[in-house]
Amino acid sequence: MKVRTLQFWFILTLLLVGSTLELALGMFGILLPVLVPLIFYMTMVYGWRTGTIAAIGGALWTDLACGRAFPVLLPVLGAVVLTSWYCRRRSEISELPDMLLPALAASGAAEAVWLVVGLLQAPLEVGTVWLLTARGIWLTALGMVIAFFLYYWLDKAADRLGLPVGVTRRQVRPGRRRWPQVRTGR
Amino acid sequence: MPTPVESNIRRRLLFLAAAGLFCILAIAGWSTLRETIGRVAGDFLYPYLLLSRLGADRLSDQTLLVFSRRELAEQLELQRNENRRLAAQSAAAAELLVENDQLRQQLKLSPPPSWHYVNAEIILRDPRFWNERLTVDRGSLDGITPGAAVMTTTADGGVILVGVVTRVTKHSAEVITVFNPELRISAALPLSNAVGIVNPGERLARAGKVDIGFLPVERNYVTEEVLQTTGFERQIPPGIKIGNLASIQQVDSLFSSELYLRGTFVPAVDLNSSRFVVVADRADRPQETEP
Repeated sequence: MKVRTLQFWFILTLLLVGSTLELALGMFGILLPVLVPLIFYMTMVYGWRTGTIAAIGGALWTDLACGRAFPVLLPVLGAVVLTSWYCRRRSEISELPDMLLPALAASGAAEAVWLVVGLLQAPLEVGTVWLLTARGIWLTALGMVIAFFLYYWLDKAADRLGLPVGVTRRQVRPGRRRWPQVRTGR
Repeated sequence: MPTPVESNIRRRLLFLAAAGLFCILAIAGWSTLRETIGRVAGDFLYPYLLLSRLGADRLSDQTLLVFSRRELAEQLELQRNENRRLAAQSAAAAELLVENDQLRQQLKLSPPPSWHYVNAEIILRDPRFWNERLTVDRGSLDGITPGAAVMTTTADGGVILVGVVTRVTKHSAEVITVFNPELRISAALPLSNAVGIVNPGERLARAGKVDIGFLPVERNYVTEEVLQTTGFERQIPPGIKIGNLASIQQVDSLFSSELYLRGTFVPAVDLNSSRFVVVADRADRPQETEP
């Protein structure tokens, strides 16, 4: 199978699983950011074009499934793509812990958009604003942790499938397909 | 190369930053996770909490053999008292069981004339807008149409409004609840003989409370009075409880030029404990014919 075709199915499967997991947990009131780390991974590894397409697909699918009047996930995941793209240009993920700061930034950008959306709808009182802010801080940290594990596992899976991986150190291993090095701002 | 003193200062600063970050996350996480973890932990920890009790019982059984007659008699008396207490609890639980059966029966509510009810289960909740939207497992194949009223029952058998169906597929329907600022319906206050509009603004005024506007000025409003549906909307039956009036705008009728008043009410529905709902539909609705 061609790498591009395999990559397409890999991304599609990840999006469907991520979206379903987020919705299924949401049914029990558990708010777990899965799509945000996924889009972060895709943008960091495959670039902003793939990231944008995946973000649009994932956002529309999830928003429609939830029946939201406004596709609020579009700006949220858009912010993730932008932040990840900026981080990809500025830094190189040569070791796994290198992705922690970009993941924190992407997760924070997503939660910042959620906070703005929340503040536009919620009552303007101290308790509610604090609740929304606290949720944003907590989910930012949680998103970073989830992104760390996702990055690790998805890189392993991609490595086995012969797809591009996120940690550049792995890309120079003999016998594996070489992928263009991540551009750096330096 | 940093000197040992500099390195020590750096280490301390790093420790302080980490401690600060931990404090922020702990404070932020507390208010966020309190509800979710409480919901999950109750069921998850139950078997483990029970283990200590089982161990204690086993130990108690073993030590029973070394007691004297007098001690055993005391234990027996204590056990009898315990049994009496448990019997009372069991009777109370039996009452709850009967009440549960009654509630299930109430789901088979008899609809008003020219209405029919469809029972439905909530299958999807939006985690970000928990109180505002939900999806039920009944759709157009069950006769549900957009605009239909969605209701639930209270412990005393009363019917309360949950929201209104906005979009219908063959097997599911999306509902916006009274907490959603998009839901605008008329509401009657029978005690004050007034009618207002629910959610006149773009956002909720206060957490847990919903706005009501366009209330006539010359009325004596009483807080806690009941808000009901009016029947002005074709697909919402009249007389369904929406909530209780919480506050009303105070104006001086002599000097104010206000034509209408605003207020807030507390919706009667508790969406955290609602799992089953009833969707109302008009029985005299003209049937769509297949082309």
